[in-house]
Amino acid sequence: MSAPANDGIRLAAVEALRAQGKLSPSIVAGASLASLIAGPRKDARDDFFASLRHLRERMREILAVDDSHAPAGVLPQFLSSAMGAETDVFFDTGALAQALHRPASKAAKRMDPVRRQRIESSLSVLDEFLSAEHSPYQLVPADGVPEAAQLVLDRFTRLLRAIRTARLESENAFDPAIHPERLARLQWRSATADELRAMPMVIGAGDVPEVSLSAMSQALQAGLPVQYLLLRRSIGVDLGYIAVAHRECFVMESSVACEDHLTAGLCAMGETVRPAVAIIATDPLLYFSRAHPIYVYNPDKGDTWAERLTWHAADPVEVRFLGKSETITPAHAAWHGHLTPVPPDGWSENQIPLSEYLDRFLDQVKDQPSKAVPYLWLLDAAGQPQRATVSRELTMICRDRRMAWRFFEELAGIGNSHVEAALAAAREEMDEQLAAREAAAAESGKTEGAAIAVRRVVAVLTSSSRPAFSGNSAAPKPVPPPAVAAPPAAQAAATTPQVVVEAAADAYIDSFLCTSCNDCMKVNPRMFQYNAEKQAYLADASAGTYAELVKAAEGCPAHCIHVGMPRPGDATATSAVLAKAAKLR
Amino acid sequence: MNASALESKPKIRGNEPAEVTQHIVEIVSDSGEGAQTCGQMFGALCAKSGNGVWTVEIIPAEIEPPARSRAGASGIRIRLGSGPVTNAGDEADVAVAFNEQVLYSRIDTQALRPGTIVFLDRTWAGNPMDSIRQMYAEAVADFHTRGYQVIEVPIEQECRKHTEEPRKGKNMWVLGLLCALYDLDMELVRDDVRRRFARKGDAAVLKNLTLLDDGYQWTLANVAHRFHVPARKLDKPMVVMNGNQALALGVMAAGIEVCSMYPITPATSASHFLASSFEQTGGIVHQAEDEIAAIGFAIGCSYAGKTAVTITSGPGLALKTEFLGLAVAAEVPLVVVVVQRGGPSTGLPTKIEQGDLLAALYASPGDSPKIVIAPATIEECFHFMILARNLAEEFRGPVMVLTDANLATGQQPFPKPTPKQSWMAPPVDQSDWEKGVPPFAWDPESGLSIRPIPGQRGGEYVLTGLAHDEYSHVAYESSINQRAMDMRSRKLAVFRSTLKPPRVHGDAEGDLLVVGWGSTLGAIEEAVDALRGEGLRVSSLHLRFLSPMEPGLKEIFARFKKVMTVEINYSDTPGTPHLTPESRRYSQLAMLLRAQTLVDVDCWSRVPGSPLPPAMIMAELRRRLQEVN
Amino acid sequence: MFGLLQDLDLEPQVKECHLEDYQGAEARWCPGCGDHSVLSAVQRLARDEQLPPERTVVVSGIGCSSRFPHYMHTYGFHGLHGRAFPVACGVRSRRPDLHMFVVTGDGDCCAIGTAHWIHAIRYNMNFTVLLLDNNIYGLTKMQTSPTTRPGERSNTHPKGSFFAALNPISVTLGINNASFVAQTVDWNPPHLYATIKAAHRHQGTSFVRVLQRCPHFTAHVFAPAQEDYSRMLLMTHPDGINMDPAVTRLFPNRIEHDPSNLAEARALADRADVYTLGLFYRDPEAARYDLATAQGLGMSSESKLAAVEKALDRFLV
Repeated sequence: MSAPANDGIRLAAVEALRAQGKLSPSIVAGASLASLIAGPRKDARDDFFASLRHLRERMREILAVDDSHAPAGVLPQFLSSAMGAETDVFFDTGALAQALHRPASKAAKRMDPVRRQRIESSLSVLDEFLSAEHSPYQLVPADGVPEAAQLVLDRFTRLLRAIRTARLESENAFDPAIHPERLARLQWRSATADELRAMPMVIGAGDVPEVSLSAMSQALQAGLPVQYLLLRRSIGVDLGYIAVAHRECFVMESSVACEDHLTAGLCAMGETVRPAVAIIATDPLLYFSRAHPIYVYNPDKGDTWAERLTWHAADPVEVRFLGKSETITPAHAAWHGHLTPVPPDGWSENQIPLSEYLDRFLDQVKDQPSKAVPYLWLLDAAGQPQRATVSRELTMICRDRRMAWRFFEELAGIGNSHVEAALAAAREEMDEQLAAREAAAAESGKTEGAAIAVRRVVAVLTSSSRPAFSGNSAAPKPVPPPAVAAPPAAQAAATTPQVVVEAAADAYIDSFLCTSCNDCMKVNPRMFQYNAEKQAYLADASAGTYAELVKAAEGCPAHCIHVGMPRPGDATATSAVLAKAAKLR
Repeated sequence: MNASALESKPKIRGNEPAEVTQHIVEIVSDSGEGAQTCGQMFGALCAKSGNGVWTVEIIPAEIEPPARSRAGASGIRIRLGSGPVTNAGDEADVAVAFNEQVLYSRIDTQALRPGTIVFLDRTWAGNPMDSIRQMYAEAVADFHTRGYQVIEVPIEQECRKHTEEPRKGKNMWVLGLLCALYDLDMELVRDDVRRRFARKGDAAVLKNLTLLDDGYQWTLANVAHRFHVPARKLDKPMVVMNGNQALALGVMAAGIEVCSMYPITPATSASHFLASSFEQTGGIVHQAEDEIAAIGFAIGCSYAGKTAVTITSGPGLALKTEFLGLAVAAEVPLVVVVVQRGGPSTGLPTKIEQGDLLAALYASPGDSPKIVIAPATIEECFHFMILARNLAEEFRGPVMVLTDANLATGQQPFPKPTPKQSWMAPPVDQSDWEKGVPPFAWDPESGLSIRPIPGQRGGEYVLTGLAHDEYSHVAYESSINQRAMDMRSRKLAVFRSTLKPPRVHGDAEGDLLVVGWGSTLGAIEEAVDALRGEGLRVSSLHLRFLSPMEPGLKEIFARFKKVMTVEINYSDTPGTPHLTPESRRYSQLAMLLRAQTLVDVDCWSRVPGSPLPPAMIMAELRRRLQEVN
Repeated sequence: MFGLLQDLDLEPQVKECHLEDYQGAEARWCPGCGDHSVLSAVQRLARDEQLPPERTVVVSGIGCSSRFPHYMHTYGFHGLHGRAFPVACGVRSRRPDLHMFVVTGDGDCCAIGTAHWIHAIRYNMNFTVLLLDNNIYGLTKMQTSPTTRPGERSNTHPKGSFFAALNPISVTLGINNASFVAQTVDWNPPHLYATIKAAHRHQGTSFVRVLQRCPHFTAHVFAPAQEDYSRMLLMTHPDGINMDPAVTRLFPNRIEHDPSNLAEARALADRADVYTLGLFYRDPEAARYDLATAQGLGMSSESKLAAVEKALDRFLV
């Protein structure tokens, strides 16, 4: 922007607000912002390192166990060292070694050398990684992000291979036929979100106007787990919206004047493993004037705009100075060279404050010319307020910002045009229906229909998965209170849907009640068998006699064998047996 | 007669200190007067100067016994030497008594001899109570009659000059006395005092230094005696500790992670040390609800792959025997330390005895072959724990380590061990179990096998105390039990084949061979050396491996006219009523040796509740030698 | 976007275990014995929870029920009479990775092993205890057990037992730090299964008493309750033992009992007129000793060595 038109004039509001802007140096410094982003990942990183150390210890243990199986483990010199300082005084260590080498299984337990080599090499990668210094993030110029990310990801992929190998080895699940080929194909995208969170972050920092859009777009499109931290110092291109257009990236715009939002947003940015862009207005006026939208677009939250976009609604801010008040507009943030002071004798009715001008004219009549001229309040060299008219160019910038604001609002669900259209249509339809119903009611003059309607509404409102009311009862049956005292047995029996409601003609077993006690098997192992749950079922009722069936049912501790009626011609179904059977159906 | 007195005749050289090769000092006081701290500091300072040292505490049975009583004597014996000192020795050369009554407890145990220099606090002579003044006067007269060189010292009066609480300051004053008496480098002593009391603040350091210096100066001014025990230059760092601390450190150095115990004297102090230090090596002490649970817990750990140790004493061993049998039958590695005390029953809880040898070998029902080892020195207490864990794992079963109250409470300097990675237990084997290998794949030659550990895929088996086959399946066939018992016993045979024959101390042949085990090593060898110095043909042999027993004994025994054991446990004394050679009950090692070697091994054993002093052993050996010739 | 591409091929694949994978030797208990019911419930649970057989340990003492480990195809420890608890505590002390069951009987737990039972409950280490209580010594052929009803005849008390039966639930509820106390019966497998499952999932010592008949010696004791469900009282609660409502309805007598209410739990446990089934008490906050005994696990041997060196230095002269 050009130099101020007149050094003598000052936009007092700017000074007042800039003073309010909490431009604490800690927030503005890129590194501090970066550490804010990295903060939420500390736990993930600590857990990751702990798991690596654990894995490393496991690998060492496996090797140590193998060493103890090694022939060296029973070599005399090893023994004389392992058994304490005085072994050689008491033992013929050669003989001891020979004795201990005897168990055949011991020598056979030696690990396959290929496996050992594999464990050792992944151990060395783990060792190397754990012994290196690790900064939680790398701050690079925004345009250097793709290259920096590539380096970090390559190292990370190598570590991932070692982790996967070690994990398989710790369970002794490594299959040489499958896993080497899959390990070779392994890339950083196979990492879990927690692993990605533990990876050193690549944070590209820069000023909005200087960022190469194409390089950034490539990184975002590729889904690289990188973070852009861009500072906006003045009104310019809607880079945030361009980033949002990549659809699956985390994007936030915020302002140093809006510290809570900024901090929370950067923390959320630290949580995500998607590519992320943060655009931060360093001039508080960009925020107060709504020239710079404040929002977080976080695709981790869901798939819809409503879930993803969190809009930070900001009320228009007024400043008051020298008894005059004025709504802050984008012009306040970009006034240099665009204001023309008007001495008090030049003030006229046609001059109206810029914010009012924007409200009254630009929204209503779009580009239609008007006699009104927008102005802002300035202070002259003597400290007296005076009007300054705003150039057309600046007014159009203000209009553009306002539209951008509304555009984002709509994305966030505020004043959504689709919703409004749908609402209007629905309202119209409802009105029509109501009108029709009123007409019909007037026609029949009966209340019965209304009662049915009410019942339906109640049914819908109280509906559970099953129909809650029967035909002859208007209201749903209340849910019976839970039993606090034991009801009389007889009543309980009546209301309990017993497994057997009526005596079945055919014999059967309530298998789920079977205790697997083998008692019925003892009676007839062909008639009774176990199912996949090791509970008995009637495998073949014809494999034995009715008397056997009754005997098994009598003995069954769970009383889950139901004997049914005897098959015709079964001579064992004597009257005595039938008498017993009567109780067992 | 005093064995060591022979070598330690003072050489008087005018005002110069008398040079002695060894000396014994006792400090006795009422409980709580700090005699033990004083003695430990003195012992450590002597060790630091390059002397051989053995210290042993004198502990009353009660926690707060009445003051000025014989039963309440609390104190310490320090034996110094030019060379290594291996036992507590005979009668004291010097005794410091904080009152005359506590000294009587030492007189009762024959700890003093005519000529012993007695430093006695004379403050009691001015006590307001007539009875105390009278007791004091009578005792001093009595001490003179007994031939002690009594030096009355105003210990408490002197201390009162510097402290309101002389009861808590006397020990520092006495330390100063001893430093003057034994010509110690005072700078060394002051450094030690500063280090030890630094935590309590400058005032405490200053007070103790003042008391120390006062005792030192008073002695220089008032006592004619001076002794000097020449020291060797130390070529390596030395540590001083008692046997229980050595055991505990050995447990840590062996990579054992669990000590499961139930409080029992005199074993408990090992667990106390572990309780405070074990966590630094990642270990835990489990105090179980009883002795049975203590070993059960240890067996559970061992079964799950972490070979554990349980530490107990005789009555605890009795309770553990059923589980011990299980560990043998199911071949569970386990280290069992038995710090022996006087038995039978509750017996002498704080006193020494070697009475649990046969219990360790045979107390479990049925045949339960197990390895039993016995360290003979405090240094061995440390190293044998590493050995024990290894043997338990390699030979797949319990290893019992027998020590006793003498080793447990005695302190001795020895070269600081250099712990090694190879001493540590390897990590728990979680590799896949080889298909088709049963959990008891006994090698027919050695009975050895490798065990599966929970977590090893394919190794699933059920450990059982029932007779079982190699699959750990319950034996329903008669031949299985025979085979399994054979295999378990064979492990001991193969273990024995790896041992070297024991070393004979003295000539390999002669008139008398003395066999010992455990803490008696130093006293026996000192007695044997003294007799050999007189030209007598006596040698000794000390066993560390008691089950299986070290090889070659029969051959060694054949070269001596007579073989006898010296032990601190019970045996019938020949010539007592009704006793015939057939009915005589022998001491425990003698019984084993007779059975193993078919040699007519004699024994001499006593149960005084205290270590056998060299002079007493000497006297007995001299008598036996006369019988032989 | 992320995580979707995760290469599952490189995760250690765990073999799916079937019921047969948990079946060891063929059970030699008598036909009709309640132990079978518990065995197959535990096997089903192991299958449903996919417990790796090599990481599952069943510890027992001596007695009919203590044969249990032999019939599981997992690691097992069939130890000494009354001593299952110390062994289990020892196993657990340094092996937080294992799934553990302790199977014991009324003689094993409530007579010879009483001291260990009391203290195991205090220790509250993480394992499931199944007390298979048939009110009699079976293996040694019908001697009075602590839970035998007064007047019941046995080979040691041919004129009937003198003593009031010990109530293992009341005793356990009286021990400080009890954290899970439940009772079930062998003859209702769904409730048995649901109880063992809740016990297994509980972190701490879960004490489950299974009332079960001995078909030879105590069938008559439990027969009335088997035949008439009204002789049992089912405790229900959302935090209790949850099972199919159809099975719940088999129990005509039900009571809502909040398992965090210890006083009510004790009152219910003391009821002599019915067998009270379900979860009496649960305290997920009770202190767990196994968390303390696991201290130092995973310490590297280098740091151990350094610590030993340091400990020895304290004794330098």
